[in-house]
Amino acid sequence: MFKRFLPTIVAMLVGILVLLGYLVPLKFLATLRDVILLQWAVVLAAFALILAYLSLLRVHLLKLASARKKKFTSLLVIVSALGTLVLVLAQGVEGRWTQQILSSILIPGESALLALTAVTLIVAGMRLLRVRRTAGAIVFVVAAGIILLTTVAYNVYPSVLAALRQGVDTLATAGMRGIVMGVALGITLTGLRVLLGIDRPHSDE
Amino acid sequence: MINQTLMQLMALGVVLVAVIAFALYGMRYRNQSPPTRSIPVFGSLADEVGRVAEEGTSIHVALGNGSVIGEDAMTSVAALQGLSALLDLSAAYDTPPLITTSDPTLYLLAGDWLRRAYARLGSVDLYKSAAVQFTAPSPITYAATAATYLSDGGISSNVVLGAFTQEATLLTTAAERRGIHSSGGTTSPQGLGALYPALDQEQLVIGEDMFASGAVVSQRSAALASLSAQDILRWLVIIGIIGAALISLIGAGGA
Repeated sequence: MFKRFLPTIVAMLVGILVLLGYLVPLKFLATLRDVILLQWAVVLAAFALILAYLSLLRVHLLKLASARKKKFTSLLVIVSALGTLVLVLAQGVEGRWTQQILSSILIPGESALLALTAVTLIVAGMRLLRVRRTAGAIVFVVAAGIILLTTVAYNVYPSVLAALRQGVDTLATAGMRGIVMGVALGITLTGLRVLLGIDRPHSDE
Repeated sequence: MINQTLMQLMALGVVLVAVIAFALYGMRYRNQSPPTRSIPVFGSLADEVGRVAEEGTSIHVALGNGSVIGEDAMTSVAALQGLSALLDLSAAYDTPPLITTSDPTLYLLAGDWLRRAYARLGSVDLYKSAAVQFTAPSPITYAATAATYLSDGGISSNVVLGAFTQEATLLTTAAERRGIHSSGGTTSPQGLGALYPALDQEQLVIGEDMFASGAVVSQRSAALASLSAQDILRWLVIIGIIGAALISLIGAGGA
């Protein structure tokens, strides 16, 4: 019983205090939220990161020890994870080599992956038109095509393309705001269920 | 210009209206449940467990990067609620899905959900912690790494459900190349832009439908009441938007 109700009571109390910190214009509530409760959350998240890091190492060590193929990736992950840890412990996050790894490996690598998402999105759009010729699919591909066209060829026909782009942007912004508004309401109600103890994601129902 | 205090009080008003609507619908639905909206994905997820169990394969569940202490916390909770039937059935068949995430706090929560699914059946000793994996802290690296798991073999279903942006396309593309069935959904417009062309419409959860997962899967009266309260709030927001537009049109709103 203690195990069941304590996490719920703590979650409800802390959640309500943080919510009131945002909604009620009282300084002490904002201070309680920013200086104490959110700091505690950050400390807990740091411990979660340590556990997640250890789990990452464990999973890849098990993969290395297993009889399966494709062990190179696991070896690379383990060497990178341990190497980076040693470097950060030795030099700190602002250290020369730590920053070098960040600027020479991590940032270019992630930028390349982001660029890859643009290519995969285009491929997915083309595939969509081939396999699913619904009205929604056609609107999606036409809008994507207009955005591409107006981005690439803007200097050729600026006046026509600017008007076209503005039309698509207006529709896209309206749609996005509609989605975001619905999501905000969903978050509010889901959050309320957790705050009222009706949903207990952190313990057994 | 609306000042900060007024904004806070308006938000408090929205929350109070939500609480009242929630309470009223909760009392109303105690005895009779309303018809729920149909979201095929959540129904088909449970069917996927039976299929992969027969094939001797596994399901990959990508939960995304919604931190439990961040603004995407409720998206992640809703995703887990939508997956609860899948987790329960997986535990019953002892064919645990491979759950990946890029957030440490979500990694812990997802592991706990899967462990509890086994515990409910009294077989917690069968739970394997490696079924839930933290793959990388950055969303794009996470998606690229999780995509490689799909090529390792042994996975015949790919569920992309949670907080994602455009990196979701790496997961769906990898699945498509290997003929792996994909389904899922997300709440961000960028993520939806990536998932829309890749998933069949019936296999896609769009925006706020994510938060209907608890009601659709569990059919609990409290979850159903929160859906109805959400509908009431939506209408209030629509009325507010139309009202603000009209006030702006007649020039009564000031600069």
